[in-house]
Amino acid sequence: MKKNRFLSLACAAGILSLITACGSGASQSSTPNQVAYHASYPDFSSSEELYGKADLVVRAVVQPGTEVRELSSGGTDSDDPRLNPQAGVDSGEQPAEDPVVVTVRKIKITKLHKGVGKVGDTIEVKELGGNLGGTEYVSDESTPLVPGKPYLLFLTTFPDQPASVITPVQGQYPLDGAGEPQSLPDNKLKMTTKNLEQLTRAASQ
Amino acid sequence: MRSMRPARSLVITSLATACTIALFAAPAHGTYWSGGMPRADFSIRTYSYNPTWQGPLDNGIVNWNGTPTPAAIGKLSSSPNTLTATSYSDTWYGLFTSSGPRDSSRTFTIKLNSRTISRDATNFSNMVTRVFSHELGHGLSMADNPSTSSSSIMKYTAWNTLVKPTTYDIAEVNRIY
Ligand SMILES: [Zn+2]
Repeated sequence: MKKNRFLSLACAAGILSLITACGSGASQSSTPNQVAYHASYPDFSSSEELYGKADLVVRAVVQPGTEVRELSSGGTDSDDPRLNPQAGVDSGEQPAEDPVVVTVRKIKITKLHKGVGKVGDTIEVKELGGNLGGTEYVSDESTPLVPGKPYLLFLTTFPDQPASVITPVQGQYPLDGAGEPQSLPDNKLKMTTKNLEQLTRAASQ
Repeated sequence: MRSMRPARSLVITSLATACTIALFAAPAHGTYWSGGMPRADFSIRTYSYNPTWQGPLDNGIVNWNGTPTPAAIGKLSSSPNTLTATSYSDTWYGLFTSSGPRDSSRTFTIKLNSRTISRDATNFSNMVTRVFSHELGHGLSMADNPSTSSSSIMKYTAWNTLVKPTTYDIAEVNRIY
């Protein structure tokens, strides 16, 4: 009987610790100094659509160094009710501006496939998240660009802010030793140099 | 008493299995996101946009509140949780930001990007409802792009056609809360 009581206690303790382990594992939530970003993106169904919607398509090498910035929306004065949700509405009701924290890197263009720019140009590219003022802004979706590495990048450019990869998964292709683009694990689109040349040719016709 | 042992070890084994599943079956592409709200009933600050946006946005809330789940999202002028729809110089459709620990002090903001939504909308009101419903799904602790063959508003597909939380989404919210 004693043995049994001991067993029961051991079991209870084991179960408790399992439950505790379970609970803590399932709720690894953000601490007071951590802010979590969850961004939602399109999923392009073809390389034509991806190429068509990108403003700038380049091969480029990521430069060392990063800068963390807080960016405001910029908004728009457009009269188009779709582009400007506040068109014709009293702006007094809108919440205060809540900036987005981004990490900015520089990339140096080694080949231009689409858009405005030239080989040797350095442009800024931003990624969601970064460490600012003791707070860590963490983005689940980002795959940060690696300094020193060459990439094929599909970018969206903005007049007022650094460019962004068109989506974190489908907009960046690290180049292998032969200069061939490699898709990130979650990217179902495959991109080859030949494929890209065809897209560039089709676009210029 | 002997016969109790197998039963006990069975309990422990199933608990251990349940734990293992809970711990490891939800990696980056699982369905549970710890950045969501601690409860499925929460508020969002009253918002006011033009009729092209307002109705479709409201439908995003109505659709969740109409599901057989504990989801109950209320508009409140004093809510710390906000929605902002405007043109952002970035490539996302929506951005959910979660601050604070997963308790009653947690707050969120939802940003909707009119730039990318206008660019890709083939059915504008559907897409506005869908993107907002998707972001509210993050508030309900669901992660992006669940690795399931089931249809889900948390996937990155059918932004213009799939508008209401699906059977899968409903089951997930009921599992989480
Ligand atoms: Zn999302």
